[in-house]
Amino acid sequence: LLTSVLVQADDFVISDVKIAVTTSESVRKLYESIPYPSSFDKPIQLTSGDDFKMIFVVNDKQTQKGVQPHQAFLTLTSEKNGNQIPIIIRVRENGKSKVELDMKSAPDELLSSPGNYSLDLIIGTFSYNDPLKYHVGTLEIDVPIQSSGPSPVVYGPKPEIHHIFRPDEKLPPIWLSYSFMAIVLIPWVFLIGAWAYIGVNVSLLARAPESSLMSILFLGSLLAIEILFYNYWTHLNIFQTLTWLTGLSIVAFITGQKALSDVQKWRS
Amino acid sequence: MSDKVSSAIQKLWTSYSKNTPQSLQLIDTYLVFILFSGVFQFVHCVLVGTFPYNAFLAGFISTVGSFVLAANLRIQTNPDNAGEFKSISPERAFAEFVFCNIVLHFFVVNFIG
Repeated sequence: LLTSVLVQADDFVISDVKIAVTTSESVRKLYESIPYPSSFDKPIQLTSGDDFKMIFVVNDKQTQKGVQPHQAFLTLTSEKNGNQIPIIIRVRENGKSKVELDMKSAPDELLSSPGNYSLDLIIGTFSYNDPLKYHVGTLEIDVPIQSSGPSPVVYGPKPEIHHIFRPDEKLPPIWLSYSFMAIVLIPWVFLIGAWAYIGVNVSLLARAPESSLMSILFLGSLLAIEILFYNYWTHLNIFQTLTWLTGLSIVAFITGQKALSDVQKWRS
Repeated sequence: MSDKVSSAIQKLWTSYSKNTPQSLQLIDTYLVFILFSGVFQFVHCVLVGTFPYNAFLAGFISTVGSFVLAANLRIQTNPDNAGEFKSISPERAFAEFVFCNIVLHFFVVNFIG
């Protein structure tokens, strides 16, 4: 409705107003045409289970063509206590509209207070200052008085939600974890044993003691980096780690270059 | 039938221990060590499920990555392949191996949490 063409009408005119009431057994008990602008003089009786339908066409007074206003609703005003119940109407682009009040699905306020209601059709649009209010007729709502007490609170606090956190994940039994820790460390034993068997040696130290210093420093800096990583896992944060890492890696790079070039010279 | 297989394995083993240089044998034992390390971690994961999934992944990926880097080092330092790697001396290969391992360990430690 909001995106429809702005209705630049000076006046609205309603035409082809028809009302119909059908009972719950699908028996039509009322069918009338109402000539606008006069109202329907007899009260329209609605009991529980009835279905009230109304169709009409909204026209522009000057051009006599169908228009689609921005606002269209039907209000039921109680004659007893002035309570107003609106029903929003969808008007199609050619001005034709249909509205239905089904007692089976009526709002609670209507069902709990029987009596006479004045039925008005209100049409309005944003560009025009004087909306149209057309008194269609009177509704006699005949429902049994419900002693359900005060009407339900619509905007009150909802019942409290008790959140249950997800239970912790189950861990495997601790003896299993420890035994697997031992199992995973066995390959280290194998590695040291195999290297000793093959004959890894530090004969380089004996042959060229002056260059062995660089090698020791290089390996020492690598070991320091690994210790830094262990500390990072336990208690450092990433910025401290990166700071230490840049320092140590510079040391490792310089000593490594010297050590490896010494090894190369020794090899050839 | 099984005699042939076992004798073939025997021949392979003796030829391996005689003909491969010591440095390559060292790398080979390192490869076997890494392999078993990864296998044991995987078996543990299969048995108890993947609860601290990031820890399992970190450990397993570290073994896989180390294996790949060590295999790379072995290929590059093999004297038989020297023709293909003219610009990369064994020392340079070793330096790259060390550097890549440091980076891998850093990411693994980050991921273990």
